[in-house]
Amino acid sequence: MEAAAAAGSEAPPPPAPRSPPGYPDLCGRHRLQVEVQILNWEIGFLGQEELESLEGLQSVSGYCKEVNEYVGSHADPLVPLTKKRRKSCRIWRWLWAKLCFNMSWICCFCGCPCPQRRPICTCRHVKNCCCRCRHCGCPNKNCWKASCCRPCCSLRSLSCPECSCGCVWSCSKFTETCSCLKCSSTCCMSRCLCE
Amino acid sequence: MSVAELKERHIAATATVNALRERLKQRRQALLDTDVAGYARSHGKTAICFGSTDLVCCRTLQGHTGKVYSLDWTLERNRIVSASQDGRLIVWNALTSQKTHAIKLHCAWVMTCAFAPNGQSVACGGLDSACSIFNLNSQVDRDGNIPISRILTGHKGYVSSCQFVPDQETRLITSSGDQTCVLWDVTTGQRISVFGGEFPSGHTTDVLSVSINSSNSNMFVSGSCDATARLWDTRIASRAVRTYHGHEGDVNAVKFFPDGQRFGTGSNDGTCRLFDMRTGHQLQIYSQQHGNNDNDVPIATSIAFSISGRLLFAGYSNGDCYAWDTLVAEVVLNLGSLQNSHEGRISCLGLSADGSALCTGSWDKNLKIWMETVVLKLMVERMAFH
Repeated sequence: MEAAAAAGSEAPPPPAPRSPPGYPDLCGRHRLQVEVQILNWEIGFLGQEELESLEGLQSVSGYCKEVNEYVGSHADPLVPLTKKRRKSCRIWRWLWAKLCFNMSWICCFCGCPCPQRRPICTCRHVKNCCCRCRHCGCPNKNCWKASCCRPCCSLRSLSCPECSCGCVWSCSKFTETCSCLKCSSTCCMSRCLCE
Repeated sequence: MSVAELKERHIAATATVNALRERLKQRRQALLDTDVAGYARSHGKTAICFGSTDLVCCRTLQGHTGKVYSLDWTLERNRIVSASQDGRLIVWNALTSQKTHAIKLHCAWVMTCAFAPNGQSVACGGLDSACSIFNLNSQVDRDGNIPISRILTGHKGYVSSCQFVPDQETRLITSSGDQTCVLWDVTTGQRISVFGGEFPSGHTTDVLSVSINSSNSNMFVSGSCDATARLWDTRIASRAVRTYHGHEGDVNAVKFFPDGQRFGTGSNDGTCRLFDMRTGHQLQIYSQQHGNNDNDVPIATSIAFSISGRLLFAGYSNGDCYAWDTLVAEVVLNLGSLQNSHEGRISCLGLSADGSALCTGSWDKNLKIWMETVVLKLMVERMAFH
């Protein structure tokens, strides 16, 4: 019994988790070596090539000048006409509108000076003149009645809403089934562009 | 060499690199006597004036049932290919807004698409880590789908962007989440060159975008989550020609300026920048003032230059689409505030080959085409006449 008690007092400690053995950190060492190599490469690249390439470079203003010159020498269909040109166009259109009031049958034939006239007449009295019919081949070129412009409805053959998905025109008066005033057929374009 | 010695060398080398970078930065700063806007203003340039109806949405391309992620125009005939979260590519006639092809993809997680120069094939890629090529003239299979004509495998991460080399029908460049860009031979499906990855001077994290120089198709630029853009020569894959620092966040979009000597970038830091390709100079920052909270700054997701370079269109995560006057660095128009604008994030945009139309794609599932009003009317009249 005493032996058993002695044995119990000298019982081995309960098992406990142990730290893993200290294996050499091969992956970390290799990774460090690669990183040092890359850094040394970059030191060489930055020192020799990048810094040297800055020698003899002109200041930024020289390159800004190139940008300005390039932009100034190329037309751009997304840039609107200048305000200055627009003002002169508006003055002429106002003047012609005054004249056309009494001479509407010739307003778009005698040469509306609006530079945007051809092929679209921006004369305010377009509904009373045949500048659109002229392009549509209306036989009666001197006719100023709106009903003469029926052939213009050939425009509706292009991209009507029912032929495509979600044709949307950015016109406040546009509706998907807007009617051409001239021939009462569905048309998705002529009304918006007559404004 | 012991690990301790290696660590010391690492610390010393890092300090040397940082010192060299600082020296480079100061040398560049000394050359920064002005920027594009400063130069333009000193020479009397003023901002372009856009009226509220000068640029209009003339088409809304509806048909995708998921977010639109990418779009590309053909070089001619005004067709657009778009890629969407709905797992489809759609080819549109931009003039009539009719769909000419709808391609169901094997992997719905598409991130990019591109038209081949001849307009007969389209490429797309995404989370499948591959780039798929479809010939639009192929016979459809039993299910009515256009079959894949070639699949380019080899990337170890998602394909974020792809572009055909402009004057070479058979070459394509991709960018990837595996930190590399790859030049492919489309006819054989083989990788010709890998840019970055194991080689030094490559991007250190995901590459998000590529743009090939149309003036010199041997050069292309890439943008990455490591906040840099890098210039590559396809003939020298071993290292980047130049690295462009400046952005403070992921570079989501890169696009060459029309003259081929500069390129623009769009970033998570909310800014767009113009860099000089040859010298590395940052010529201009295009940035709006925002609140103090960084979370309020919308990220620039996509960019495109107008044909003259006068306008820089930039799409943002909040649905805005700014037209920047590149010369004076001012926003001259926000397409997001116009009638019929998108109702969600602008994810992609691109100019038609003749520069007369801008197409935007959005998370609202639509694409929209924008044109200048007078040009639009002329086009319509011309079409009617014929």
